[in-house]
Amino acid sequence: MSFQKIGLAALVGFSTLVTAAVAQDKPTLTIYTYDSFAADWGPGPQLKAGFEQNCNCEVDFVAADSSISALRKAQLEGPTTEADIILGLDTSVAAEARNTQLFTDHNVDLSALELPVDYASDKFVPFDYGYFAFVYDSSKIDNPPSSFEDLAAMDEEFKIAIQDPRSSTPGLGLVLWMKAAKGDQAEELWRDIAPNILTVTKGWSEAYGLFLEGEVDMVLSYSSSPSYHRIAEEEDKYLAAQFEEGHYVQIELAGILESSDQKELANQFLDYLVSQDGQAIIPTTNWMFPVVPLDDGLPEGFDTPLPEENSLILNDETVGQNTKQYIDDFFAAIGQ
Amino acid sequence: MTSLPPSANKSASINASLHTVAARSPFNWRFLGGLTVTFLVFATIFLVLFVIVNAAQSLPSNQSAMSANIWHLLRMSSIQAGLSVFFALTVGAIAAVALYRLHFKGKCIALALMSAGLVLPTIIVAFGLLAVWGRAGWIRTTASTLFDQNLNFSIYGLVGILMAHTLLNGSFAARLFYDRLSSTPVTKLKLGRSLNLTPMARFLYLEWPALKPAIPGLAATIFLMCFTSFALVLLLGGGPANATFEVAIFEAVRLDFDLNRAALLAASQLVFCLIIIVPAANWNTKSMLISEASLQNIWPATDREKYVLAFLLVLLTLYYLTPLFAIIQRAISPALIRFLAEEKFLSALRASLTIASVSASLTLILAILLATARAELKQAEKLGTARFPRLFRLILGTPIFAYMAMPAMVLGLGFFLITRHLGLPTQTVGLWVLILANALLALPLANAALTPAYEKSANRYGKLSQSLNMSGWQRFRFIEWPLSRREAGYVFALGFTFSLGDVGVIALFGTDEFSTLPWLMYRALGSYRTNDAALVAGILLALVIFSFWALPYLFRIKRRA
Repeated sequence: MSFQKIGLAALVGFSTLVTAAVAQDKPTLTIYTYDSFAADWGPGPQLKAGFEQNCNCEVDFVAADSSISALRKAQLEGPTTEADIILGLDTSVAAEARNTQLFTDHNVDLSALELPVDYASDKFVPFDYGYFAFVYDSSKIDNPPSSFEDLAAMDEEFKIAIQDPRSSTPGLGLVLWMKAAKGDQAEELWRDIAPNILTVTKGWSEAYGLFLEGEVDMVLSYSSSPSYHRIAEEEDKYLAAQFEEGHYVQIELAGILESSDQKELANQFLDYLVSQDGQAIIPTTNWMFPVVPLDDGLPEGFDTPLPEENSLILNDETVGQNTKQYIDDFFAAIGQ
Repeated sequence: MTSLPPSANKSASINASLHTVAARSPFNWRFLGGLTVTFLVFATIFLVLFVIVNAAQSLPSNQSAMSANIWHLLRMSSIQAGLSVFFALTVGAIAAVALYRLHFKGKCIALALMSAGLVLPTIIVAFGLLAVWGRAGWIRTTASTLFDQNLNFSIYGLVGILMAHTLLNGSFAARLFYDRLSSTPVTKLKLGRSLNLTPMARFLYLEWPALKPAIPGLAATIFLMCFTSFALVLLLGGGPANATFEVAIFEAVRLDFDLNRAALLAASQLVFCLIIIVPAANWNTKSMLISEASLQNIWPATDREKYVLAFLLVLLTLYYLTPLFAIIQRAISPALIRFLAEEKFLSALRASLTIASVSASLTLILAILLATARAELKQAEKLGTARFPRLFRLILGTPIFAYMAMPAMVLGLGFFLITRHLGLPTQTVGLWVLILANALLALPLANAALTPAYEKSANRYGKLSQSLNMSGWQRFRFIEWPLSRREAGYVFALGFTFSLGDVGVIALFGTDEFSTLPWLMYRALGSYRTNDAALVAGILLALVIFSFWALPYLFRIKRRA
């Protein structure tokens, strides 16, 4: 019967697929991260190549669908995890990550770092940052909102797409942004903004897709999104709306696991990650700002960071303790 | 000769009697095969929940309140899924009848196109639908440029969810209904024609009895697909009012890492879905309408009937094809050729095809085992030797549906933990888990497609084969297989294309040794590369349509008898 042949052919093909890892004498540094960091076009491959030149080691990026999944994976694996570093956690989950007791102190010198807000941690090394912002198409929108009040006052026909804070990092970032900017007024503003929310998507991709399709006028994304279109696609009509109350900062972090047997190597990698060489890779691969001023400056067409007074952030503990409440309040306010 | 276990609650005596009877009659092996499949599926589900609860004990307790209102989620999901079932079945029946009665060129292409939507990653279909019906879609743009009309219609909300689900599942229903109709015995048709039945009478006396046996399995499957639909519901739902159960599970696993709650939520969803679908899925059918599929033009529609049916069919086809056309249209660009030659595309294609072939074979084997077991049950009922037929039908029917009711995230978590417990390397095992998960996920669909044919052949030929003293294998080879070859081809194609889709279940495994086509697409979508994502989406769709057209041919070759 024909399908037996197919099955056989499939099995033969399959065995070529499963390639066992070649045994190496060199030590392996295993880094859990999120998918787009490890992707072909992400910073992963270049960082791996750069670090392996001098470390006499093998760098192995293991991608999960998000950085939270990477953390959860390490938690499930417990002390037997292969991971030495978890890379890509951000400030909104830093407290949660710290509470897992999985991380050990790093000894990376962070004095050269220049961040828009004060951030210090004995467990986590910041390696890039960005701002949450609403992105719009300037060929269609002449007067984008310039504050949350502005947005709330927009005509109902003006639609935005945002992400679910329970399943998406920017979605959570927006809830924190509003809270940091408006405090107790947040819920009231959410109520007024609700009619303008076309939909709350599961992840960033869907919302951004809706925006590029022209389904929404504005989408919650990163302030560096326009830089991508400008540099990679030579398209300059996309802009980030500047909000008067400032923008919430997202700092991406990397931490070394207590269970790692390669702590020395892991520290060396983090040293490299925040060095000039490592940081120069970040802007046009991860589309975030480097944490040290680059010798050659930012690539042409890349946005400049916002002034310090426009940078908002809530401290890790506040976020860790109140996130659930903030999310509940957000849903209660926009919930139809 | 008894062909069924005598009792359900005395397993020892079942085994004993099965063994003694099996020595005489291989029929029971067919029954046992099906029971084994359902037992394994059931065991998998149980094991998944068990390891999660077990892991929760060893992890620091992370209890926190849930922000979602479970009852609200259950209510919304049920309403949404129930309505989707209703629309999908109605639309499917209309399309199937029209296709069956009308004869035109390109019918086989139309059939290949059907259910193509169902197996694509839902996000692709959702964006296709938006390209037509959305705020910046074709309809609104045309209306505003040609007629200066600003249409006030919005697809976001329950309407959009139902539109998408009807599109996805309606075409699947149409395809299954069409298969049922086209196995109506020629003699029945000739009789009907000679009696000069009106188009309505034809439906009531000939077509409805043919469709009815397919409805329970189909309704249950569609209900589950819609109930567990997640990304699509959020995308088109217009906000938390239309949130789903899966969001609550997302929150439990990702945000709170409260594994107990995740397991509890998964179990609740399972129980809830089963309460709703079990009565439907285990409906006993008595239809005997079966014959080898025939495409002969025995009873063409009359003039007025023809116009009405053609009109309906054109409308439905337009509704169905425009979003698919939008997907293809976006993929056609100068970049396509370059992309097709890229190594990352080729390796993803290779991986996808391999996984799909293995999964599809597994799906077909499991589906046949289940279908023969159900035929066995049917046979025994016909002969009056069945004991506890309702119970066994329940046992044979439920677990396969149950698997679909499990949230992908919880399954992924469970499979990951099981792999760890067994001390297996997650990176290599991931592939096999993916294959197994895909096969099990496609099983309800495959079952819905295959079972009616087997049950009906038992109804029709049960006594005959009994009096001829045919063995189980002979019945399969000379009755069931020839009568269901067409469905088998479809089931293989279904299993094949279905596993080109989701990869979520091995998200935790970290198998970055390989990537599949949907993976490539999600990755591209997640890093601004919407053009690449559009290319992959178009290629996937083309591949799916091709599979539905080509794969069933492998099953049409006449066996040397």
